[in-house]
Amino acid sequence: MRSYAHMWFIGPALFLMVVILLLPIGVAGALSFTDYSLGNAGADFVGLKNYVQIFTRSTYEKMFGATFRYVFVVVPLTVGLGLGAALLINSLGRFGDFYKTIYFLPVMAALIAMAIVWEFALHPTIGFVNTTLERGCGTWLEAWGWYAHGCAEGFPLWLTDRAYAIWTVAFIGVWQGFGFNMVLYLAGLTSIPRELYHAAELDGAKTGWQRFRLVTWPMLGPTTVFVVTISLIRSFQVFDMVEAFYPQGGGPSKSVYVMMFAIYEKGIQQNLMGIGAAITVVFLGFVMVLTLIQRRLVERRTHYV
Amino acid sequence: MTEIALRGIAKSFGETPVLNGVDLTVRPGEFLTLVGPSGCGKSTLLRILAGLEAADAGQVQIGGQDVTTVRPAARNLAMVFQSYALYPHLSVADNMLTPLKLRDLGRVENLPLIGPLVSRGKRAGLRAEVQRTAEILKIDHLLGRKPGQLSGGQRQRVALGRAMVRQPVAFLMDEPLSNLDAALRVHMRAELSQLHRSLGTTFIYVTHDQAEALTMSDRMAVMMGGDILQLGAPGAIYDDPDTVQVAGFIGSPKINLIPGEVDGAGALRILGYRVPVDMELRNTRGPVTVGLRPEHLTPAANGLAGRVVHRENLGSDVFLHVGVEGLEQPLTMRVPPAQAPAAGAPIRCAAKQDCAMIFAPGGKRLRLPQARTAVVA
Amino acid sequence: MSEATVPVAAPVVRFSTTETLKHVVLILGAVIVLLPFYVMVSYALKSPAEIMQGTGGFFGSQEPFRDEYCVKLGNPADDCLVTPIAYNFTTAFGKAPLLRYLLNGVVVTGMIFLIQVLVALPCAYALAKLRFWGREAVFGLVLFCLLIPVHAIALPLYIMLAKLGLTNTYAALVVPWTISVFGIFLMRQFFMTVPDDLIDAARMDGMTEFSIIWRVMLPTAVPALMAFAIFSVVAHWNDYFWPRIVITGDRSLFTPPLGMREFKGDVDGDNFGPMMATALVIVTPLVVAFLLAQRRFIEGITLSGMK
Repeated sequence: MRSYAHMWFIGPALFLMVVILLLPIGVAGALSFTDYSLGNAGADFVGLKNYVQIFTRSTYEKMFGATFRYVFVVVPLTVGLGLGAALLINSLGRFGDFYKTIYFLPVMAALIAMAIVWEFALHPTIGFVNTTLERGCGTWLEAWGWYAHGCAEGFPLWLTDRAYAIWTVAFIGVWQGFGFNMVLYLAGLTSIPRELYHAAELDGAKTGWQRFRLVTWPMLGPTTVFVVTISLIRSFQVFDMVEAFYPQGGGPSKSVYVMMFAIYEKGIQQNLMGIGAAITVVFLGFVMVLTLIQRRLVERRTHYV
Repeated sequence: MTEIALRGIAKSFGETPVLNGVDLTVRPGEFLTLVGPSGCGKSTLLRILAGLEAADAGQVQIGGQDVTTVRPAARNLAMVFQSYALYPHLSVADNMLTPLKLRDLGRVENLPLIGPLVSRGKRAGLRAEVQRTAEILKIDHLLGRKPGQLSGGQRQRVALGRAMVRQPVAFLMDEPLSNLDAALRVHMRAELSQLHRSLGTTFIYVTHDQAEALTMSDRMAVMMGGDILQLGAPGAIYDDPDTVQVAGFIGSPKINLIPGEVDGAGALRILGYRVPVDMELRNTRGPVTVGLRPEHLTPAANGLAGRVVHRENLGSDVFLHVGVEGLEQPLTMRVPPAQAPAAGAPIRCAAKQDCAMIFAPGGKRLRLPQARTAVVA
Repeated sequence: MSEATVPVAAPVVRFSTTETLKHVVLILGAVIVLLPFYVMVSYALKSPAEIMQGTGGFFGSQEPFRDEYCVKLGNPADDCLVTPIAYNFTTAFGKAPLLRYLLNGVVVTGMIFLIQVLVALPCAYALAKLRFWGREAVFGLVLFCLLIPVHAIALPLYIMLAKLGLTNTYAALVVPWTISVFGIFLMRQFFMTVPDDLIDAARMDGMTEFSIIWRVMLPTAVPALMAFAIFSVVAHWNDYFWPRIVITGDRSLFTPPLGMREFKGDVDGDNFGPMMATALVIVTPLVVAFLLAQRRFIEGITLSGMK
């Protein structure tokens, strides 16, 4: 009887893994070579046409542009701020938990709800941000050219100005995400043996920077690899804010047309499953390569335990 | 050769006092062990000496200079940690190079990329130093490896090497052998002693293992409850403990501590039997504690009657645990294997002449002039 | 050693200025982090006029005002005087079936977690403690599936569900999440640390493999399961993308994040208050739970760090 028990245990999981995770990849792969639409009886094979479109049309150029702009702002900032906050909080001792709680709040709050709150806060005329900025007009702040310009011509329409939209969305992404990285770094920091700092101290590492270079940063290596990868994957998947701010079209001049939104727009809204599937495949490619790189790095680094 | 002195060191963590004004002078070049049960404050004392911990009161002097407020790095002490605390991401060579680089290279020379270019000559010198030390410790074939690829004993040597390269005023060691297996520990004891002799530098060594203290030290300080109870050569402390606590801590198997009494005639008695002591207990009357080491008891025709409850054969010796009616603890007694009775056999045991140590109810050793001369002789 | 737990107290003089500087930086960060929460709570309390004019401070004056919509419905003007708080929250709960959404959220997250455990636990046990042909291959598959973010394959999943006629059902909300490879991986790693002796003892006592899972392994795994529960519930309570795709018409199936859409579209001043009230209602359950059990939540959320 025991020899068959495992079939019952593994079976459901195996079945679901194949049907829910593997089959869709196959489906996406297959559909990406067709012009399939939901409701149509069949579909025509179109070869690489969908992929050619993705890599030639300006819409998709904008898609990659928006996605990479977002990712290359959000990842370094969430990682850097996360590490900075963790180091500061870790060095405090007493009130650390207080800040930790606050910084972690955005991670818990539904992003869609908070995105809409931000939309209000950033409202050009009655939003909290611009009314506060206006209060600073006529003070020394006007020495800053950008500020003086804002006072004279009105402060930016953060979410609807082409020049600001993607950066504003990225800012909200950073706001939401750095607390998560901070917590991971805090966990990493507590696992560094105290004796290493003592050894460094006796070896002559006098400044905080020297101890950081000699002990903290190398010891956080595995944490950093993980934090960077998970931040990359999370920021590649940004969707909620974009859909909330720009339900149609992906922002001013498509400047916030990120990949997940493109999949949603092409596939669900416009029922162009072929092109949607092709974007899905490209997207999966990115994510898997990133994760594989992470695993390789982690394996190489786990030598020193 | 530098003298290290601690003057009135006191420290408490919150409400808990850990050290109550400890004075200790370490002679230049000696191997001094701080030994005591865990929680006695010995590690804290060492860390205060290293500068890793700040004392609440008192002074640390190295070579006559007050270094109480000097940073650890500037005290020129080296420490070997219980966990070795090797930098796991650096090779053995780089681990050993770190203290030299931090001491001898300037800010610019320590920069990545540019540093190695501007300080090539200096760095070669430092590397030679590392190589020389590694050869002494016979770890030169490991220089390219990472700590994670080394065995416990090898890591131990690397930690020693990292301490040695700097040629510090003194080596501080915090239970450095406790992570090794039993056989290697015995081997490393001998090696550390040899290393101490060849370097001639001061070693200050913390351990809870009295065997390490007894085998390696020139002098040992027995600590309990935040105080140094006794300081002296291992043999002297074993033979002549000042207090019942020291007597009870040093020695394995443990000393027998037996409730006794000095009768009206000044004779020492245990359960009515007279214990032969060559000292006149003129001023003492009443209950005392009698300390008798296992080797101080011997089977005798007329002595305390008991029964062997347990028999430990160590080959060269046999330790008998003798249950005696009227005593809470069985007596431990060392006998040659030839004379050892079987477990369960009845036995009578008596104290050898002049061996008993007598402690007053407070734990203080009772000594009389005659007794002291006897020990010295 | 008992003395070893003390932090590095290097005998450097503690400059209170550096300490103060740290606090200044951290407080500045905290202000920015809390800003939208402040806006949300404040707007949920204030009247439309106060929001438009930016008056009333944090709480607003709480002066009753006339609800125009109520007047339009033909009620006498005096009956239509409402306080801003009451207006915002009654509108939030009245204009959309917000309670229904919250209930849907509870049902969906609960179902997802329950099925995830039912599927993952036996599989994890088999991978950790049973020896059978193909075990390495199955585990390899688990490791591979860890690479796949479910959101990324939303499109083919949607097509498959549509073909089965399952869109706009509870099943559509739950099915894609029933398999948590991360859960399997996590539980397997946990079970690896459970001594074989415990399982052998249970077998000697006559337990079947099945009862071993639920009566021996499940109780030992409670701490890990708690963390996983928090991880799973937070992810699915806050998920917007997937419900947005599969629930298109039927409002009775909306989850709380979809409820945020109710007031989108007509972004004029009157609805700011109710909208922020809705946001507050959606965000509050998790935030309060987090504040009550911070350590557990942080543990659960950072669980993914174990990978």
